[in-house]
Amino acid sequence: MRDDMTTSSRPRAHPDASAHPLDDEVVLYTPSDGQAFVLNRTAARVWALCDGTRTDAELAREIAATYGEDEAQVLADVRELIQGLLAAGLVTQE
Amino acid sequence: MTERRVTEPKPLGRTQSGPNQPESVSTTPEPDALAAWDFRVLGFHGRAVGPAAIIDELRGLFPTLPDWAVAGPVPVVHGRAPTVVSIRPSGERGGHVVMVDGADHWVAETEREVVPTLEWTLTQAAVDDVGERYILLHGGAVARNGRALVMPAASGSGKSTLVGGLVAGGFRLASDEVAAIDPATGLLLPFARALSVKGGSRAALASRYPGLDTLPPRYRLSGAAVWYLMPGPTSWLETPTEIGFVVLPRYAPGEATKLSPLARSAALPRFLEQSFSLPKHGARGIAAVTRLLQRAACYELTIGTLDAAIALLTALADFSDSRSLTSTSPPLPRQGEGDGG
Repeated sequence: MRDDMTTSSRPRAHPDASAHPLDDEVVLYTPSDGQAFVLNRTAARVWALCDGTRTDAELAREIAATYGEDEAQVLADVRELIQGLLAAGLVTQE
Repeated sequence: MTERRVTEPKPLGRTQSGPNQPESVSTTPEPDALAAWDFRVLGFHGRAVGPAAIIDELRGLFPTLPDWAVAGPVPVVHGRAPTVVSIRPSGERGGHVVMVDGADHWVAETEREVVPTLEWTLTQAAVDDVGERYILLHGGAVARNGRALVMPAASGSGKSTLVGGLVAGGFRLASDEVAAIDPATGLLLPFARALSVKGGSRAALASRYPGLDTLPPRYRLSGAAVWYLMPGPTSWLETPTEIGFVVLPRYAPGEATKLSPLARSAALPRFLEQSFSLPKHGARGIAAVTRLLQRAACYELTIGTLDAAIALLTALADFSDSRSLTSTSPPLPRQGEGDGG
């Protein structure tokens, strides 16, 4: 049941969060609490794709295709990342 | 210092020297005569008012800055009243209550605590104001060959001793405690005042600063002894300076002195932790910091001995393509070297 709910959710990058490149990584900043987070390149790509139109399964499909990875494994990673981004206030759920 | 903060500040009205008073009043030899001294840095305007002898000693802790450092690159609204830091006698041991704009802030119970408390209060007022316009880091900042080296670090990391040693070795001083950065350009600016040398640092720096061992100690409200060391007039940052290096120091007596490259993303959290003012700048501040880090080379510095650390940073500044440097000296902790301050 939880998987179904997660799969159907469509995360959206928080509109107040700003992204700042730093080497191969991206620094995300949320002004509401003044926190900064560093995402690696892949995680930053996921965050950038979070526009409220893609489910996490669709996000995983795009990332797997981009990097030539196993989609099922990528989906698990994407879900874990989305949970972290939600907890950090960097994305919202549609 | 919080233990002796006046818990319920009470307004006492304006002090004798307000914004309509002359900006500077000549001191007289009479110890009880009042004097005022105006301190300006990066658009901040403070005024210290008190007995002439105390104000004279206080003004000796701040260098005369060039106009560009007094004004700073960020425009400020002119016509504001200066922040007035003043004192009134308290107790029978030469102590004073230190006031900010007429309100009690601190109690220096003995005479020997008065000047350090005034210096700290004036510096704190400047930090509060300058931080509105500039990114301020708790850390040392020096420059050499037209590039700045910024060392964000908490107390106890050895940065003050290191800064003192680097300045004695020819680096230009921006600050031993507060690195000021223009968020628009990323350039280092001076937040200039005398070096605050603590007990262990004094022993480590004595050979580099003849006369340091004969200076009288002053005492902070914490009870810690401090010696104020004013570098010569040619020792200060000459111009806003590009930050070429971010170095995270760690005082580790007995370990090998080592300078290790550090990923910028690993340096970022330390940079943010030591920022006084970044929350005031929001996303613009984060953007400025990431741009700054992107242009700088980042390192961790393990300070086994002061001599070896100075040699490594001098080589880094003189040979910019150095990416991995290790001290050629064995770790030889010297008694009394550094106090981690």
